[in-house]
Amino acid sequence: MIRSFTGSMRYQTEVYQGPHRLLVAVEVLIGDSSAASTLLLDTGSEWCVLPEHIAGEAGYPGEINPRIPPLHSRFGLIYGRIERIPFRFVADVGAELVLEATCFVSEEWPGPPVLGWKGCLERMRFALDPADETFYFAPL
Amino acid sequence: MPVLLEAPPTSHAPDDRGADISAETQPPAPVSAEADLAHLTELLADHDIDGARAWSQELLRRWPENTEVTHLAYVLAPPVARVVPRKYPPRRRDLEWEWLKEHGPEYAGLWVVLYEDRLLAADPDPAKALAEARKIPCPGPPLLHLAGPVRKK
Repeated sequence: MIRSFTGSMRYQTEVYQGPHRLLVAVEVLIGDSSAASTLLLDTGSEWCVLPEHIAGEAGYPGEINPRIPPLHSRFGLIYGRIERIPFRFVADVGAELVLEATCFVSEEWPGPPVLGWKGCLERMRFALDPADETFYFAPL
Repeated sequence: MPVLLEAPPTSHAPDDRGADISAETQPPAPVSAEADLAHLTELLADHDIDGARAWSQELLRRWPENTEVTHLAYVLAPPVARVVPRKYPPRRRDLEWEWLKEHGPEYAGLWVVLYEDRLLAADPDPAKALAEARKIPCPGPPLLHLAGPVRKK
């Protein structure tokens, strides 16, 4: 089976973001941010998760929404809110891909930004090739 | 780093809302926007995201004037990925990652803004680092990263 892709970028492996070791990391332009951020690619994470400062810089400041259940993470219970924020995958090869990702945003989140499943990875075609550490992507 | 949702304390008994609409049963009869939103919280806490999405659309039909309903229906709706015209020239970030390998530990704990092998700014506050970096024109977006030890290959 051959699937086509519309763009690709190199991913990083086992890099540190502060104290956090990211097994697989990709760079994403988030919202209106002037710089790309490094996100942990985690298909096991229910949501994309962003620290407040990244969401704020992207143009999505806000406060905890008590309507949204807290995340249960290895850092404990994390309270926050859900936002829909454009993610732009800037390709090394091919075309760029934009997707409005559903993100859990929290000032309490001490971890790295996370590229998660629901409202993001589930809605795009992607593949990883460890041979040359390339992240391939395309619309569904 | 799996992230899970946990049910918040609620005074709302699950049974009195009836089954959620993802179970292909009749949706609960409208009572109040507050009760309906509480049911949405329950679905999210149960990790029934598809059910929450469907329920949020039902809430939109029931309570179209409710701003909380419209916001939640909007943020929960499944996105559509689309190819867009290239905004920036194609470029791999090898130079940034080489710089981080070599110099990251020296700046551990600081947010650094890099373009190729140039350090544009470094600050404990990412907003200040970005503000400083914006003063330096670049042909494409730089990389914002919290410096730390990087594995040597």
